[in-house]
Amino acid sequence: MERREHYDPEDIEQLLMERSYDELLEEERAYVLRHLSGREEYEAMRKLLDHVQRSEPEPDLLDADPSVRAHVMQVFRDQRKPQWRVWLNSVGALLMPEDASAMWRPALALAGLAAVITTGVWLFRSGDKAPDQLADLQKVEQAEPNKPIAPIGNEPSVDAPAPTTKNELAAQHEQLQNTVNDAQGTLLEERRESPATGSAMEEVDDVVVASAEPAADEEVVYARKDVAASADRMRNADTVQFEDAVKFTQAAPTATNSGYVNNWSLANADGTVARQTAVAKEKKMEERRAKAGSDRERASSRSLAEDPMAIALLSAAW
Amino acid sequence: MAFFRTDLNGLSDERLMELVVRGDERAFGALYDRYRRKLLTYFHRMLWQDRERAQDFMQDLFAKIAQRPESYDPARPFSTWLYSVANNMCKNEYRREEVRRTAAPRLKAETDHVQAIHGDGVDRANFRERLDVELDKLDPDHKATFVMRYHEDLAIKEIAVAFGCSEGTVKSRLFYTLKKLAARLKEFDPKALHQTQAPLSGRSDDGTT
Repeated sequence: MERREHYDPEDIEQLLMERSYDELLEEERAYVLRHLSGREEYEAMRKLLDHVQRSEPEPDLLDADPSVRAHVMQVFRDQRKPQWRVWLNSVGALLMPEDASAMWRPALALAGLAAVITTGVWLFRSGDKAPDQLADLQKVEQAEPNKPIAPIGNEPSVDAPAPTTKNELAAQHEQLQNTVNDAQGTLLEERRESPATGSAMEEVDDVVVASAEPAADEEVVYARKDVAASADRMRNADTVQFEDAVKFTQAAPTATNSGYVNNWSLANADGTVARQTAVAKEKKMEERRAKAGSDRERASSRSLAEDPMAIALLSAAW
Repeated sequence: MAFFRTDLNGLSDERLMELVVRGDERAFGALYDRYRRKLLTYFHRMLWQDRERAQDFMQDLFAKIAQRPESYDPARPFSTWLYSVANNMCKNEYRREEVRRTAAPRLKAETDHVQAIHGDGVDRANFRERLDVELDKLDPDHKATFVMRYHEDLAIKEIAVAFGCSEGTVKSRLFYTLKKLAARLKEFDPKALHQTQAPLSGRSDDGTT
Protein backbone atom coordinates (compact mmCIF):
# COMPACT_ATOMS: atom_id res chain seq x y z
CA MET A 1 0.00 0.00 0.00
CA GLU A 2 1.45 3.27 -1.05
CA ARG A 3 1.77 5.79 1.72
CA ARG A 4 1.71 9.52 1.43
CA GLU A 5 4.86 11.36 2.32
CA HIS A 6 3.11 14.20 3.99
CA TYR A 7 0.56 13.89 6.83
CA ASP A 8 -1.67 16.43 8.42
CA PRO A 9 -2.62 16.28 12.11
CA GLU A 10 -6.14 15.31 11.29
CA ASP A 11 -4.96 12.23 9.47
CA ILE A 12 -3.75 10.68 12.72
CA GLU A 13 -7.28 9.44 13.26
CA GLN A 14 -6.80 7.05 10.38
CA LEU A 15 -3.63 5.71 11.93
CA LEU A 16 -5.29 5.37 15.34
CA MET A 17 -8.02 3.26 13.83
CA GLU A 18 -5.77 1.06 11.78
CA ARG A 19 -2.58 0.42 13.71
CA SER A 20 -1.13 0.25 17.15
CA TYR A 21 1.92 2.24 18.01
CA ASP A 22 4.17 -0.76 17.41
CA GLU A 23 2.73 -1.36 14.00
CA LEU A 24 3.49 2.12 12.73
CA LEU A 25 6.15 2.56 10.10
CA GLU A 26 9.13 4.76 10.81
CA GLU A 27 7.84 7.69 8.89
CA GLU A 28 4.38 7.28 10.39
CA ARG A 29 5.80 7.11 13.88
CA ALA A 30 7.87 10.22 13.20
CA TYR A 31 4.78 11.99 12.01
CA VAL A 32 2.78 10.89 15.10
CA LEU A 33 5.50 12.05 17.41
CA ARG A 34 5.44 15.49 15.83
CA HIS A 35 1.89 15.96 17.11
CA LEU A 36 1.72 13.70 20.17
CA SER A 37 3.94 13.37 23.18
CA GLY A 38 4.69 9.68 22.67
CA ARG A 39 3.46 6.13 22.86
CA GLU A 40 1.26 6.63 25.95
CA GLU A 41 -0.72 9.41 24.45
CA TYR A 42 -1.09 7.55 21.19
CA GLU A 43 -2.28 4.43 22.98
CA ALA A 44 -4.64 6.43 25.21
CA MET A 45 -6.29 7.95 22.19
CA ARG A 46 -6.52 4.59 20.49
CA LYS A 47 -8.07 3.08 23.61
CA LEU A 48 -10.57 5.89 23.83
CA LEU A 49 -11.67 5.29 20.30
CA ASP A 50 -12.12 1.63 21.06
CA HIS A 51 -14.20 2.36 24.15
CA VAL A 52 -16.34 4.84 22.31
CA GLN A 53 -17.17 2.36 19.62
CA ARG A 54 -17.99 -0.34 22.18
CA SER A 55 -20.05 1.85 24.44
CA GLU A 56 -23.08 2.21 22.20
CA PRO A 57 -26.17 2.61 24.34
CA GLU A 58 -28.63 -0.22 24.60
CA PRO A 59 -31.16 0.06 21.79
CA ASP A 60 -34.07 -0.75 24.08
CA LEU A 61 -33.24 2.14 26.35
CA LEU A 62 -33.32 4.69 23.60
CA ASP A 63 -36.45 4.27 21.62
CA ALA A 64 -39.13 6.85 21.23
CA ASP A 65 -42.56 6.41 22.69
CA PRO A 66 -45.35 5.47 20.29
CA SER A 67 -47.10 8.70 21.22
CA VAL A 68 -44.29 10.64 19.56
CA ARG A 69 -44.90 8.86 16.28
CA ALA A 70 -48.64 9.41 16.54
CA HIS A 71 -48.08 13.09 17.20
CA VAL A 72 -45.77 13.72 14.25
CA MET A 73 -48.03 11.75 11.94
CA GLN A 74 -50.97 13.86 13.05
CA VAL A 75 -48.96 16.99 12.38
CA PHE A 76 -48.24 15.70 8.91
CA ARG A 77 -51.92 14.95 8.27
CA ASP A 78 -53.02 18.36 9.51
CA GLN A 79 -50.49 20.03 7.27
CA ARG A 80 -51.63 18.08 4.22
CA LYS A 81 -55.32 18.69 4.84
CA PRO A 82 -56.98 20.33 1.82
CA GLN A 83 -57.46 24.04 2.24
CA TRP A 84 -61.07 24.05 1.05
CA ARG A 85 -62.03 21.86 3.97
CA VAL A 86 -60.62 24.44 6.31
CA TRP A 87 -62.56 27.10 4.47
CA LEU A 88 -65.79 25.09 4.72
CA ASN A 89 -65.18 24.51 8.39
CA SER A 90 -64.88 28.22 8.98
CA VAL A 91 -68.11 28.85 7.07
CA GLY A 92 -69.85 26.13 9.06
CA ALA A 93 -68.62 27.61 12.29
CA LEU A 94 -69.96 30.98 11.22
CA LEU A 95 -73.37 29.64 10.24
CA MET A 96 -73.74 27.38 13.24
CA PRO A 97 -72.00 29.02 16.16
CA GLU A 98 -71.67 27.05 19.32
CA ASP A 99 -72.85 29.94 21.46
CA ALA A 100 -75.80 31.15 19.43
CA SER A 101 -77.25 33.26 22.23
CA ALA A 102 -74.25 35.56 22.09
CA MET A 103 -74.81 36.26 18.40
CA TRP A 104 -78.13 38.11 18.59
CA ARG A 105 -76.57 41.54 18.89
CA PRO A 106 -74.41 41.33 15.76
CA ALA A 107 -77.25 39.56 13.96
CA LEU A 108 -79.60 42.41 14.84
CA ALA A 109 -77.08 44.97 13.71
CA LEU A 110 -76.54 43.17 10.43
CA ALA A 111 -80.27 42.85 9.83
CA GLY A 112 -80.76 46.57 10.48
CA LEU A 113 -77.97 47.42 8.13
CA ALA A 114 -79.47 45.20 5.44
CA ALA A 115 -82.89 46.84 5.89
CA VAL A 116 -81.41 50.33 5.55
CA ILE A 117 -79.52 49.36 2.44
CA THR A 118 -82.58 47.71 0.90
CA THR A 119 -84.75 50.74 1.59
CA GLY A 120 -82.16 53.08 0.18
CA VAL A 121 -81.78 51.06 -2.98
CA TRP A 122 -85.56 50.85 -3.42
CA LEU A 123 -85.97 54.60 -3.01
CA PHE A 124 -83.15 55.30 -5.40
CA ARG A 125 -84.56 53.00 -8.04
CA SER A 126 -88.12 54.28 -7.71
CA GLY A 127 -86.98 57.90 -8.03
CA ASP A 128 -84.83 57.08 -10.99
CA LYS A 129 -87.48 55.18 -12.94
CA ALA A 130 -88.20 57.66 -15.76
CA PRO A 131 -84.73 57.69 -17.29
CA ASP A 132 -84.83 53.92 -17.56
CA GLN A 133 -87.82 54.02 -19.88
CA LEU A 134 -87.89 54.84 -23.57
CA ALA A 135 -88.80 58.29 -24.71
CA ASP A 136 -92.55 58.68 -25.10
CA LEU A 137 -94.00 61.32 -27.32
CA GLN A 138 -96.91 62.84 -25.50
CA LYS A 139 -99.37 65.31 -26.87
CA VAL A 140 -99.49 68.33 -24.63
CA GLU A 141 -102.56 70.48 -24.83
CA GLN A 142 -101.57 74.11 -25.06
CA ALA A 143 -103.83 76.91 -24.37
CA GLU A 144 -104.35 79.19 -27.31
CA PRO A 145 -102.39 82.35 -26.69
CA ASN A 146 -105.08 84.88 -27.55
CA LYS A 147 -108.03 82.95 -26.33
CA PRO A 148 -109.35 83.87 -22.90
CA ILE A 149 -109.19 81.09 -20.38
CA ALA A 150 -112.29 81.99 -18.46
CA PRO A 151 -115.64 81.16 -20.00
CA ILE A 152 -117.32 83.93 -21.82
CA GLY A 153 -120.99 84.52 -21.64
CA ASN A 154 -123.36 84.70 -18.80
CA GLU A 155 -120.90 83.49 -16.21
CA PRO A 156 -119.28 86.36 -14.36
CA SER A 157 -115.55 86.73 -14.03
CA VAL A 158 -114.04 85.10 -11.00
CA ASP A 159 -111.21 87.60 -10.57
CA ALA A 160 -113.30 90.77 -10.50
CA PRO A 161 -116.66 91.38 -8.99
CA ALA A 162 -119.39 91.48 -11.57
CA PRO A 163 -121.41 94.68 -11.99
CA THR A 164 -124.58 94.48 -10.09
CA THR A 165 -126.52 97.65 -10.81
CA LYS A 166 -128.19 98.56 -14.03
CA ASN A 167 -126.27 101.80 -14.37
CA GLU A 168 -122.98 100.01 -14.07
CA LEU A 169 -123.99 97.47 -16.57
CA ALA A 170 -125.10 100.15 -18.96
CA ALA A 171 -121.85 102.02 -18.58
CA GLN A 172 -119.90 98.87 -19.11
CA HIS A 173 -121.91 98.00 -22.17
CA GLU A 174 -121.31 101.44 -23.62
CA GLN A 175 -117.57 101.15 -23.04
CA LEU A 176 -117.41 97.79 -24.66
CA GLN A 177 -119.36 99.10 -27.61
CA ASN A 178 -116.86 101.93 -28.01
CA THR A 179 -114.01 99.48 -27.86
CA VAL A 180 -115.55 97.33 -30.51
CA ASN A 181 -116.14 100.32 -32.70
CA ASP A 182 -112.55 101.43 -32.30
CA ALA A 183 -111.28 98.00 -33.14
CA GLN A 184 -113.50 97.77 -36.15
CA GLY A 185 -112.41 101.17 -37.32
CA THR A 186 -108.79 100.21 -36.99
CA LEU A 187 -109.35 97.05 -38.88
CA LEU A 188 -111.17 98.82 -41.68
CA GLU A 189 -108.39 101.32 -42.00
CA GLU A 190 -105.80 98.59 -42.13
CA ARG A 191 -107.67 96.68 -44.78
CA ARG A 192 -108.23 99.76 -46.80
CA GLU A 193 -104.54 100.55 -46.76
CA SER A 194 -103.52 97.00 -47.61
CA PRO A 195 -105.60 95.77 -50.52
CA ALA A 196 -103.50 92.59 -50.86
CA THR A 197 -104.98 91.21 -47.67
CA GLY A 198 -108.55 91.39 -48.81
CA SER A 199 -110.70 93.43 -51.18
CA ALA A 200 -114.16 93.16 -49.76
CA MET A 201 -115.04 94.18 -46.30
CA GLU A 202 -118.12 92.96 -44.59
CA GLU A 203 -120.00 94.53 -41.85
CA VAL A 204 -118.52 94.41 -38.42
CA ASP A 205 -121.41 92.48 -36.98
CA ASP A 206 -121.04 89.75 -39.54
CA VAL A 207 -117.31 89.96 -39.85
CA VAL A 208 -115.53 86.85 -40.99
CA VAL A 209 -112.05 86.91 -39.71
CA ALA A 210 -109.55 86.99 -42.54
CA SER A 211 -106.56 84.81 -42.37
CA ALA A 212 -104.15 87.71 -42.90
CA GLU A 213 -104.97 89.34 -39.60
CA PRO A 214 -106.05 86.60 -37.23
CA ALA A 215 -105.17 88.44 -34.10
CA ALA A 216 -107.13 91.53 -34.90
CA ASP A 217 -110.17 89.58 -36.02
CA GLU A 218 -110.10 87.49 -32.90
CA GLU A 219 -110.11 90.63 -30.86
CA VAL A 220 -113.17 91.74 -32.64
CA VAL A 221 -114.82 88.39 -32.06
CA TYR A 222 -114.03 88.44 -28.40
CA ALA A 223 -115.13 92.02 -28.06
CA ARG A 224 -118.38 91.14 -29.66
CA LYS A 225 -118.81 88.28 -27.29
CA ASP A 226 -118.17 90.63 -24.40
CA VAL A 227 -120.81 92.97 -25.69
CA ALA A 228 -123.28 90.11 -26.00
CA ALA A 229 -122.45 88.96 -22.51
CA SER A 230 -122.91 92.46 -21.20
CA ALA A 231 -126.33 92.70 -22.86
CA ASP A 232 -127.31 89.41 -21.28
CA ARG A 233 -126.26 90.64 -17.93
CA MET A 234 -128.36 93.77 -18.42
CA ARG A 235 -131.36 91.58 -19.18
CA ASN A 236 -130.78 89.58 -16.08
CA ALA A 237 -130.06 92.55 -13.87
CA ASP A 238 -133.54 92.57 -12.45
CA THR A 239 -132.98 89.29 -10.81
CA VAL A 240 -130.01 90.57 -8.83
CA GLN A 241 -130.81 91.39 -5.25
CA PHE A 242 -130.60 95.10 -4.53
CA GLU A 243 -128.98 94.65 -1.15
CA ASP A 244 -126.27 92.61 -2.61
CA ALA A 245 -125.73 95.10 -5.35
CA VAL A 246 -125.30 97.94 -2.86
CA LYS A 247 -122.46 96.06 -1.24
CA PHE A 248 -120.50 96.14 -4.44
CA THR A 249 -121.03 99.82 -5.32
CA GLN A 250 -117.62 100.67 -3.94
CA ALA A 251 -115.94 97.76 -5.61
CA ALA A 252 -113.43 97.99 -8.39
CA PRO A 253 -114.67 98.32 -11.97
CA THR A 254 -115.45 95.17 -13.79
CA ALA A 255 -112.55 93.45 -15.48
CA THR A 256 -113.36 90.95 -18.15
CA ASN A 257 -111.20 88.63 -20.15
CA SER A 258 -111.49 90.77 -23.24
CA GLY A 259 -110.43 93.69 -21.12
CA TYR A 260 -107.35 91.84 -20.05
CA VAL A 261 -106.59 90.98 -23.66
CA ASN A 262 -106.83 94.63 -24.69
CA ASN A 263 -105.05 95.86 -21.59
CA TRP A 264 -108.22 97.52 -20.63
CA SER A 265 -108.47 99.01 -17.21
CA LEU A 266 -110.03 101.89 -15.38
CA ALA A 267 -107.12 104.14 -16.26
CA ASN A 268 -107.44 103.60 -19.99
CA ALA A 269 -111.09 102.91 -20.17
CA ASP A 270 -111.56 106.04 -22.24
CA GLY A 271 -110.05 104.30 -25.28
CA THR A 272 -106.51 105.73 -25.13
CA VAL A 273 -104.92 102.37 -24.75
CA ALA A 274 -107.05 100.97 -27.52
CA ARG A 275 -105.91 103.69 -29.83
CA GLN A 276 -102.29 103.18 -28.89
CA THR A 277 -102.73 99.51 -29.49
CA ALA A 278 -104.21 100.23 -32.89
CA VAL A 279 -101.26 102.46 -33.79
CA ALA A 280 -98.81 99.77 -32.72
CA LYS A 281 -100.65 97.23 -34.78
CA GLU A 282 -100.56 99.46 -37.77
CA LYS A 283 -96.79 99.80 -37.41
CA LYS A 284 -96.52 96.10 -37.19
CA MET A 285 -98.55 95.64 -40.34
CA GLU A 286 -96.36 98.10 -42.21
CA GLU A 287 -93.29 96.16 -41.23
CA ARG A 288 -94.89 92.96 -42.43
CA ARG A 289 -95.80 94.53 -45.77
CA ALA A 290 -92.27 95.82 -46.20
CA LYS A 291 -90.90 92.41 -45.48
CA ALA A 292 -93.29 90.79 -47.93
CA GLY A 293 -92.18 93.23 -50.63
CA SER A 294 -88.52 92.43 -50.11
CA ASP A 295 -89.31 88.74 -50.28
CA ARG A 296 -91.09 89.22 -53.61
CA GLU A 297 -88.08 91.08 -54.98
CA ARG A 298 -85.79 88.32 -53.86
CA ALA A 299 -88.06 85.74 -55.45
CA SER A 300 -88.00 87.54 -58.79
CA SER A 301 -84.20 87.88 -58.77
CA ARG A 302 -83.88 84.24 -57.94
CA SER A 303 -86.13 83.23 -60.80
CA LEU A 304 -84.05 85.31 -63.24
CA ALA A 305 -80.86 83.79 -62.02
CA GLU A 306 -82.29 80.33 -62.33
CA ASP A 307 -83.87 80.89 -65.73
CA PRO A 308 -81.97 78.62 -68.22
CA MET A 309 -82.79 80.88 -71.12
CA ALA A 310 -81.27 83.88 -69.44
CA ILE A 311 -78.24 81.86 -68.44
CA ALA A 312 -77.84 80.51 -71.98
CA LEU A 313 -78.13 84.02 -73.40
CA LEU A 314 -75.54 85.36 -71.01
CA SER A 315 -73.17 82.48 -71.72
CA ALA A 316 -73.56 82.96 -75.51
CA ALA A 317 -72.84 86.64 -75.15
CA TRP A 318 -69.76 85.85 -73.11
CA MET B 1 -55.27 -1.23 -2.27
CA ALA B 2 -52.38 -2.93 -0.54
CA PHE B 3 -51.68 -4.83 -3.74
CA PHE B 4 -50.58 -1.60 -5.45
CA ARG B 5 -48.52 -0.27 -2.60
CA THR B 6 -44.81 -0.02 -3.24
CA ASP B 7 -42.31 -1.27 -0.73
CA LEU B 8 -40.97 1.89 0.85
CA ASN B 9 -38.22 0.10 2.69
CA GLY B 10 -36.26 -0.35 -0.52
CA LEU B 11 -36.34 3.32 -1.40
CA SER B 12 -33.55 5.72 -0.54
CA ASP B 13 -33.98 8.51 1.96
CA GLU B 14 -33.98 11.11 -0.79
CA ARG B 15 -36.69 9.29 -2.73
CA LEU B 16 -38.79 8.97 0.39
CA MET B 17 -38.37 12.66 1.00
CA GLU B 18 -39.62 13.39 -2.50
CA LEU B 19 -42.74 11.41 -1.69
CA VAL B 20 -43.10 13.29 1.58
CA VAL B 21 -43.00 16.58 -0.28
CA ARG B 22 -45.86 15.28 -2.45
CA GLY B 23 -47.84 14.45 0.68
CA ASP B 24 -47.19 10.72 1.04
CA GLU B 25 -47.91 9.91 4.64
CA ARG B 26 -46.46 6.42 4.43
CA ALA B 27 -43.16 7.76 3.19
CA PHE B 28 -43.06 10.14 6.12
CA GLY B 29 -43.71 7.26 8.48
CA ALA B 30 -40.96 5.21 6.86
CA LEU B 31 -38.45 8.05 7.30
CA TYR B 32 -39.45 8.43 10.91
CA ASP B 33 -38.95 4.74 11.57
CA ARG B 34 -35.54 4.83 9.94
CA TYR B 35 -34.15 7.73 11.92
CA ARG B 36 -36.03 7.77 15.18
CA ARG B 37 -33.44 5.81 17.17
CA LYS B 38 -30.42 7.49 15.62
CA LEU B 39 -31.83 10.91 16.26
CA LEU B 40 -32.96 10.03 19.73
CA THR B 41 -29.49 8.76 20.56
CA TYR B 42 -27.91 11.85 19.04
CA PHE B 43 -30.11 14.18 21.01
CA HIS B 44 -29.60 12.09 24.10
CA ARG B 45 -25.85 12.52 23.87
CA MET B 46 -25.96 16.12 22.83
CA LEU B 47 -28.48 17.20 25.43
CA TRP B 48 -26.91 16.04 28.64
CA GLN B 49 -28.34 12.52 28.50
CA ASP B 50 -31.79 13.84 29.16
CA ARG B 51 -34.09 11.28 27.60
CA GLU B 52 -37.27 13.28 27.87
CA ARG B 53 -35.66 16.30 26.36
CA ALA B 54 -34.14 14.20 23.61
CA GLN B 55 -37.54 12.78 22.82
CA ASP B 56 -39.07 16.24 22.70
CA PHE B 57 -36.38 17.42 20.35
CA MET B 58 -36.82 14.48 18.06
CA GLN B 59 -40.54 15.13 17.98
CA ASP B 60 -39.95 18.78 17.17
CA LEU B 61 -37.56 17.88 14.40
CA PHE B 62 -40.02 15.58 12.66
CA ALA B 63 -42.80 18.06 13.19
CA LYS B 64 -40.69 20.64 11.36
CA ILE B 65 -40.18 18.21 8.51
CA ALA B 66 -43.92 17.52 8.39
CA GLN B 67 -44.76 21.22 8.29
CA ARG B 68 -42.12 22.26 5.77
CA PRO B 69 -40.85 19.29 3.80
CA GLU B 70 -40.06 21.55 0.87
CA SER B 71 -37.24 23.12 2.90
CA TYR B 72 -35.20 20.00 2.19
CA ASP B 73 -32.62 20.49 -0.53
CA PRO B 74 -32.70 17.39 -2.77
CA ALA B 75 -29.13 18.07 -3.84
CA ARG B 76 -27.89 17.17 -0.36
CA PRO B 77 -27.99 13.75 1.27
CA PHE B 78 -30.98 13.49 3.54
CA SER B 79 -29.04 12.21 6.54
CA THR B 80 -26.60 15.11 6.33
CA TRP B 81 -29.42 17.61 6.12
CA LEU B 82 -31.22 15.92 9.00
CA TYR B 83 -28.20 16.03 11.29
CA SER B 84 -27.43 19.61 10.39
CA VAL B 85 -30.96 20.56 11.45
CA ALA B 86 -30.57 18.53 14.63
CA ASN B 87 -27.22 20.15 15.34
CA ASN B 88 -28.70 23.62 14.96
CA MET B 89 -31.45 22.69 17.37
CA CYS B 90 -28.86 21.54 19.87
CA LYS B 91 -26.89 24.77 19.50
CA ASN B 92 -29.99 26.77 20.23
CA GLU B 93 -30.62 24.62 23.25
CA TYR B 94 -27.09 25.25 24.46
CA ARG B 95 -27.69 28.97 24.31
CA ARG B 96 -30.95 28.67 26.18
CA GLU B 97 -29.31 26.43 28.75
CA GLU B 98 -26.55 28.97 29.22
CA VAL B 99 -29.14 31.61 29.99
CA ARG B 100 -30.89 29.27 32.41
CA ARG B 101 -27.69 28.49 34.21
CA THR B 102 -26.85 32.15 34.49
CA ALA B 103 -30.27 32.85 35.96
CA ALA B 104 -30.34 29.84 38.31
CA PRO B 105 -27.01 28.12 38.79
CA ARG B 106 -27.21 24.45 39.14
CA LEU B 107 -26.70 23.24 42.65
CA LYS B 108 -25.92 19.83 41.44
CA ALA B 109 -22.23 19.25 41.77
CA GLU B 110 -20.85 18.05 38.54
CA THR B 111 -18.04 16.42 40.44
CA ASP B 112 -20.47 13.68 41.29
CA HIS B 113 -20.36 12.66 37.67
CA VAL B 114 -16.62 12.97 37.44
CA GLN B 115 -15.93 10.36 39.93
CA ALA B 116 -12.88 8.48 38.93
CA ILE B 117 -13.42 4.97 37.94
CA HIS B 118 -10.75 2.91 39.48
CA GLY B 119 -10.00 -0.67 38.82
CA ASP B 120 -8.54 -2.75 36.09
CA GLY B 121 -11.76 -3.60 34.36
CA VAL B 122 -13.58 -1.13 32.17
CA ASP B 123 -17.16 -0.65 33.04
CA ARG B 124 -18.79 0.38 29.83
CA ALA B 125 -21.68 2.01 31.52
CA ASN B 126 -19.42 4.05 33.71
CA PHE B 127 -17.23 4.96 30.81
CA ARG B 128 -20.21 6.10 28.81
CA GLU B 129 -21.40 8.24 31.64
CA ARG B 130 -17.97 9.71 32.14
CA LEU B 131 -17.54 10.31 28.46
CA ASP B 132 -20.83 12.16 28.27
CA VAL B 133 -19.81 14.38 31.14
CA GLU B 134 -16.57 15.23 29.44
CA LEU B 135 -18.30 15.82 26.15
CA ASP B 136 -20.61 18.32 27.78
CA LYS B 137 -17.57 20.34 28.76
CA LEU B 138 -16.41 20.65 25.19
CA ASP B 139 -17.19 23.28 22.67
CA PRO B 140 -20.57 22.48 21.06
CA ASP B 141 -19.10 22.19 17.58
CA HIS B 142 -16.38 19.84 18.75
CA LYS B 143 -18.86 17.82 20.72
CA ALA B 144 -21.29 17.58 17.80
CA THR B 145 -18.47 16.61 15.45
CA PHE B 146 -17.37 13.89 17.81
CA VAL B 147 -20.89 12.54 18.29
CA MET B 148 -21.66 12.55 14.59
CA ARG B 149 -18.42 10.86 13.74
CA TYR B 150 -18.15 8.19 16.41
CA HIS B 151 -21.73 7.70 17.55
CA GLU B 152 -23.80 8.36 14.45
CA ASP B 153 -21.21 6.92 12.10
CA LEU B 154 -21.36 9.81 9.66
CA ALA B 155 -18.52 10.17 7.18
CA ILE B 156 -16.19 13.14 7.47
CA LYS B 157 -17.55 14.48 4.21
CA GLU B 158 -21.11 14.33 5.50
CA ILE B 159 -20.15 16.06 8.72
CA ALA B 160 -18.42 18.75 6.70
CA VAL B 161 -21.59 19.25 4.67
CA ALA B 162 -23.72 19.29 7.80
CA PHE B 163 -21.56 21.95 9.40
CA GLY B 164 -20.86 23.81 6.21
CA CYS B 165 -17.10 23.61 6.65
CA SER B 166 -14.17 21.84 5.03
CA GLU B 167 -13.22 18.23 5.67
CA GLY B 168 -9.89 19.38 7.09
CA THR B 169 -11.71 21.37 9.73
CA VAL B 170 -13.69 18.29 10.71
CA LYS B 171 -10.53 16.18 10.96
CA SER B 172 -8.77 18.80 13.01
CA ARG B 173 -11.71 19.04 15.41
CA LEU B 174 -11.75 15.29 15.81
CA PHE B 175 -8.04 15.11 16.47
CA TYR B 176 -8.03 17.73 19.19
CA THR B 177 -11.21 16.35 20.74
CA LEU B 178 -9.68 12.89 20.93
CA LYS B 179 -6.50 14.28 22.39
CA LYS B 180 -8.39 16.23 25.05
CA LEU B 181 -10.67 13.37 26.00
CA ALA B 182 -7.80 10.93 26.16
CA ALA B 183 -6.05 13.22 28.58
CA ARG B 184 -9.14 13.55 30.78
CA LEU B 185 -9.95 9.86 30.73
CA LYS B 186 -6.42 8.62 31.15
CA GLU B 187 -7.29 6.78 34.37
CA PHE B 188 -8.69 3.99 32.26
CA ASP B 189 -6.19 1.18 32.09
CA PRO B 190 -4.49 1.01 28.73
CA LYS B 191 -3.44 -2.51 29.46
CA ALA B 192 -6.96 -3.73 28.96
CA LEU B 193 -6.70 -2.63 25.41
CA HIS B 194 -3.51 -4.56 24.96
CA GLN B 195 -5.00 -7.63 26.60
CA THR B 196 -8.00 -7.76 24.40
CA GLN B 197 -5.92 -7.16 21.28
CA ALA B 198 -9.10 -6.42 19.59
CA PRO B 199 -8.31 -4.64 16.39
CA LEU B 200 -10.00 -1.32 15.99
CA SER B 201 -12.55 -1.26 13.35
CA GLY B 202 -11.05 -0.08 10.16
CA ARG B 203 -13.39 2.79 9.68
CA SER B 204 -12.71 4.41 6.39
CA ASP B 205 -13.18 8.04 5.64
CA ASP B 206 -16.67 7.51 4.33
CA GLY B 207 -17.82 6.08 7.61
CA THR B 208 -17.98 2.44 6.67
CA THR B 209 -16.46 -0.05 9.07
